[in-house]
Amino acid sequence: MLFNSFEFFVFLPIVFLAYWFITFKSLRVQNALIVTASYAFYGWWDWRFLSLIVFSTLIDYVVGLALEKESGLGRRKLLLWFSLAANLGFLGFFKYYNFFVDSFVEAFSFFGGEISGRSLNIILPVGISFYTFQTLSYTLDIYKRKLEPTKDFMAFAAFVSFFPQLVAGPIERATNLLPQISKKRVFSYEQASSGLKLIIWGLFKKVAIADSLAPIVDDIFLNAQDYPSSTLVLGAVFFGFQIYGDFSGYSDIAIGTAKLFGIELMSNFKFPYFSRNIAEFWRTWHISLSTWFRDYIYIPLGGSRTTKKLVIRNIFIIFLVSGLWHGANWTFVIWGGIHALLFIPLFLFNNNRKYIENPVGANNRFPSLRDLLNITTTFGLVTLSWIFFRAESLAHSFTYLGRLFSDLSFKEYVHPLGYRMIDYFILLIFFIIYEYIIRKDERKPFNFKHKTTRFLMYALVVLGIVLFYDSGVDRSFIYFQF
Amino acid sequence: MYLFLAFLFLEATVRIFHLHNDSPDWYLDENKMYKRVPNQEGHAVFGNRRQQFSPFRINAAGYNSYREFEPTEDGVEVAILGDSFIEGLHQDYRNSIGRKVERGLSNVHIYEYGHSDFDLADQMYLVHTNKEEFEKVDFIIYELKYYNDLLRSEYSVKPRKVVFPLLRHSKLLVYLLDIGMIDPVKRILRKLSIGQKPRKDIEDNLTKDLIFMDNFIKLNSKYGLEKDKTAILLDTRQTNKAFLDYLEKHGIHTIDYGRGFEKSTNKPTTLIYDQHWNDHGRNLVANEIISFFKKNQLLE
Repeated sequence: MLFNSFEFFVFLPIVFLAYWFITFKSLRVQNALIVTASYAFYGWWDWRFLSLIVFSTLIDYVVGLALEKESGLGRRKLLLWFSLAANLGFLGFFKYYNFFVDSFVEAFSFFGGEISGRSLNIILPVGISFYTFQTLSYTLDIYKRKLEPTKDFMAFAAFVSFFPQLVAGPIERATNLLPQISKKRVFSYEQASSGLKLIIWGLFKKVAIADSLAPIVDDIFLNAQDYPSSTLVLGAVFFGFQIYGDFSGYSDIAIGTAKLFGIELMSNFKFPYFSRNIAEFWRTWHISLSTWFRDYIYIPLGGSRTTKKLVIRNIFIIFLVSGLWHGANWTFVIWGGIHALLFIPLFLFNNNRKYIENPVGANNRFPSLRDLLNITTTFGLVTLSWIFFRAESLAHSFTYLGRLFSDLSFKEYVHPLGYRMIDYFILLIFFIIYEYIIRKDERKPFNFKHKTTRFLMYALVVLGIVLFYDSGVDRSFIYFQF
Repeated sequence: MYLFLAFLFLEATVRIFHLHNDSPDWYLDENKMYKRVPNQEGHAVFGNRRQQFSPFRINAAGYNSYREFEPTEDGVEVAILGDSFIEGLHQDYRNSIGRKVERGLSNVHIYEYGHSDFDLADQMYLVHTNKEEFEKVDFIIYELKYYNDLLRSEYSVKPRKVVFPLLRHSKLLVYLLDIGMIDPVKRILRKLSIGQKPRKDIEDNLTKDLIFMDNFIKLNSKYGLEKDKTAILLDTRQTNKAFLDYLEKHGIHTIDYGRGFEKSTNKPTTLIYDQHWNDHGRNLVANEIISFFKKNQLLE
């Protein structure tokens, strides 16, 4: 079920009313409702893959309890490996089997060998990368004795399957979400109201920004070989906004929906396009994933507290793995590699933590010229890397880049269906300015003192959704495929 | 409160910027045919942000045209009958297909009898029930979309249902309906059989062709086509070969706009936010009609 679908529009109020008015007396029943609703939400797409979630839930619940009882390191390791093998096994099979088989066959034939590998016709279960990482974090935290396992199976099942963030995150940590699920929730008008505001803002990002730009981006990427560099720049920039609108929009709706149920999810985006270097970008883009990699891969590998050589290796590992996490395609690996290459100089010159304390315009109304230059440069680099992210294959990305830098000419872009381009420029300018205005708190997109201003903003955002709603586009979220 | 105010704000915005499509009203005439209420004016609006905006004008006869239909014995008049493509609410009525044809042929008045969803039964019944008027007309062109317009063998009133008639007083809701935002609700209502009943589709092509041919023959025998002053405007690419052969064998003229459309590969022939012909498409159709008359010298 999509957040931006009519089904969800009906589903959400029903679950909300049942949650606060029917099941509120018993925490167990309320959690059972979360599990039922979440399974219905997921099963709406394909009920067969519910078995994977159920299986993953059972394994990590049992392994968690066993890890607590077990004191011997060897047996604890064995239990951990069992959980890792089961969870990553599913992920590996459904997401990476064909990729590795094809890559292996290609590599073999490159060196003159002949080998036949059989690709399988596998459907990638929606959200598998997200809930797998979420359950893994639970087991890993128990293994590291940072967390006590829950004995309440229903609460654990609700933690794994909590529908607002089940299919595309934020990837929650058990330390944050499980305690909230394990204790009685009390309805708060303020929390629900701020949840609704986030939902509206998320819908705006998804419908008005991402979905409206999608047909233009699709056309430019599909026909990259026929367009001059000016159009290819436009395509890459628009894709940057499309993916940001799509994914951060999803996250906002997820966080907002969770708020309606009295649950606070972690923030996933903090205005990443106002970043002044790549390190800041990664602190503000898909935060739940980058912190996951930091906590469960980077730090266990030694993090930054080791030799420079090893730190560089660690940086490469997390960025490459992050790329591969996004999709079973070399384009994602290259995308990750580019970000590693952009990050390493910052680390070497000790600039990677430069902007932690002072986000852009923290003390001033406007950014300084230097900040503006850095923001533009960072955005340009990120946009270039998006070409690999969006391209269908490496050959496609090199064609795109090749033309981008060889056919240096300007020609007005005309979409085959004749979309009026000026509308999109105005939309994006409005969006950037608005994001800058609200930059201090990503969870309060309508934080204005005056009632009139607040109302005007609600109305304008809803108007934006209506004006740019396109009934003809595929409305699913890009990150569902990861 | 905020919701209500937001609704008012959006309603006002839609009205002030005229984002909504105007739809001229219908009435049932004495011949049990639906017609547009005469002398209405408005604008056809397509796209969320008024990407296409064109005026229409319903004349005294109830059709969208810049002309009043007053056929004479002396003048040269051609009637073009058809569906929404001929009605042309999506275009500026001052630049319709008929107007384009008039520009290409001298001293000819074109009367466009177009109504949305007007099939061949409607068209032939209209001529049949208004014999006197159409006798004065020098030539009649019926527009035929083979797969849509031969589903009936005789005329009967098709009720014209307005979706959510009461809600149509709100221009915001009209606008939301037009841009497809309420489609999911409509789909569900359709599933629950509230509103329109789904049309039974004939699966088999051969059966379809036989039924269409039979319907045409029945319509012809019931309402009659005057071969000498009649042509059928169609797209041969979308029309059954046996049907085309039948028309040829019986001396019924055809005007094919399909070839022109086929050649126009680099230029779209339909609108962006609507499947109707754009200005280029209408030019192609008009040119075919002009060439037809010039080639056959039927108006001299």
